[in-house]
Amino acid sequence: MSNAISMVGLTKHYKGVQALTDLTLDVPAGTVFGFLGPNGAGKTTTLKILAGLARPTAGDASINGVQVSAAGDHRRELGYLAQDPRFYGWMTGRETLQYVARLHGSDPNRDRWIGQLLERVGIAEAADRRTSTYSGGMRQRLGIAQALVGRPAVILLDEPVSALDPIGRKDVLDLMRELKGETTVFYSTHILDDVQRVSDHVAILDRGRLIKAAPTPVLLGSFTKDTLKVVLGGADHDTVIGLRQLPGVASVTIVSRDGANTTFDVSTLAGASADAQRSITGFAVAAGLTLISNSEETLDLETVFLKLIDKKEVAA
Amino acid sequence: MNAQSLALGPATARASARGGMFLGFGTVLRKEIREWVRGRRALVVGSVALAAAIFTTVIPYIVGATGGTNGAPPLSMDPTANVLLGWGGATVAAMALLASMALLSGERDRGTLAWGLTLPVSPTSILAAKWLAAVLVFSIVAIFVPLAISSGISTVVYGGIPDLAKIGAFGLLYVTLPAFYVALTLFLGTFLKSTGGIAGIGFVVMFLPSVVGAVLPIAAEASPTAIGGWAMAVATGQPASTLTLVGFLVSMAILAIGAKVIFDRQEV
Repeated sequence: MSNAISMVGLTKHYKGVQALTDLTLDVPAGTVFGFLGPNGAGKTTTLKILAGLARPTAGDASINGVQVSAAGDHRRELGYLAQDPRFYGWMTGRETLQYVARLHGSDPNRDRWIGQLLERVGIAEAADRRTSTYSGGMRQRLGIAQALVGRPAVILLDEPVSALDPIGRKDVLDLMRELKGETTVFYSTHILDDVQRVSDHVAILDRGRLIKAAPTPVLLGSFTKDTLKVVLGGADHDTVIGLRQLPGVASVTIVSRDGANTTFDVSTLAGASADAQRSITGFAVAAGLTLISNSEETLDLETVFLKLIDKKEVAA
Repeated sequence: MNAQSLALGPATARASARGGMFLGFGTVLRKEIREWVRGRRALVVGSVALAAAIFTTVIPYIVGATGGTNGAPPLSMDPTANVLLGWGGATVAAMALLASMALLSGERDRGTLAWGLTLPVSPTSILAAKWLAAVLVFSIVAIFVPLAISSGISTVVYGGIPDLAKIGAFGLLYVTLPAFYVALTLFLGTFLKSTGGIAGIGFVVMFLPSVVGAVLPIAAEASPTAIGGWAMAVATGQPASTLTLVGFLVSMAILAIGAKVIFDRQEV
């Protein structure tokens, strides 16, 4: 798979602030790539560098193979949505899209395409109103439409759902999911649930440094590997000892007790999860326990994110 | 949003626009001209310029009709001289400065400058389009239209057709005046965020050469702010200093290069 965005050693230093340090990251073409990090992590700085609004102190970046530069040629390859998008108040929504479309080059089907976009982002009825009359949510929707109007290879979205109500947020996430494969969506956010729902790749940034970048399932899997969550009914202290002696089991921890049910975290030896699961099932039957759950532990992105950030803090 | 799906199509299918230093220039120029017209700036500037041009054209007629000059020499009733009568002062320069002082700072304040710089447009195109649109629109509404209408009024009031070749030549040469002041405000706007600051420095630039010129005449002569007087002198066949033209051309080059260098390095 080719890369839609390549960043090599991107570094940005503002007066007294190291915003970005040696960021090297490739964004595969056609993916929805979530760029995560706490406030001040350097997400917006990265997006601004890619859009050409800020210049890196060191390093290079390219969009669809075109070098990012002040001249702006690379901007023909991208659509950009700022956190708080602003447009010319004297233009209507439709005129705004026509203006951006013209800058991207001639397109014989421009007006039809603009009509479709306005419908899709839900502002068709307000298309011929001046944008000075638009609410924040409507500007966000228009911002998404103008990012798409040039049919760019890459769309950069800076906190695309932060200003939207729950319905608007769902709409935008649906749209992003729909764009998968059509174009590359690289977006920043701190809403981890959204990333888990729509992103097939994730990068985590903290204090200007890349902590981790991986396909979402791989990232989540790397934290759940070799750990089982086991819930047994009727377990007692001897159950822990019994579980520890099973083949493939490395360690056992009681997580909680709820009435007769006890939840265990069972760490298994590397690559021995399946064997351990089988032996736990056999152990429960032999010991007359009720096996309620015996599955690989699944972590949500928020937990993984916090674990990664914590790990870094400990390392620092 | 509705459930209608989108098919972006391959990105490579779109026609490629001309790249390089003037990427997006034509589209931004059209947008700038529309902004001048739809934002009513052109209407306001044109109305003030027209009122001033008509008033100065008919002054000799009014003075003559209301009982003379109280002992002063009689005013000329020459149609051409009276059309050009009011164009020697600082009115047009001040209007050009005021009309263009927020071209960049206003966009920066509204957040549209940052948006514009994420589109397929080069920074040079933004500056060049803003300058050209402002000079074009300003020249039409504040120079050519007032000159044309006051020429018509002069014909009626003074009973003769003015020398249109002379007036036309003056109009064309006089475009250099707004060209300089718009370039000045754009240059200042590349590094000053305050519109008031831009206007303040603009007015200092406008009046400083006259003050310095009282001590050092060559400074006033070489000043680009003297280009309006130079245009009048050339159009009416009076002696005109080449030094003024050189001063104008050199300052325009400095402003253009300076604005480009600063704006290219700008982060928004």
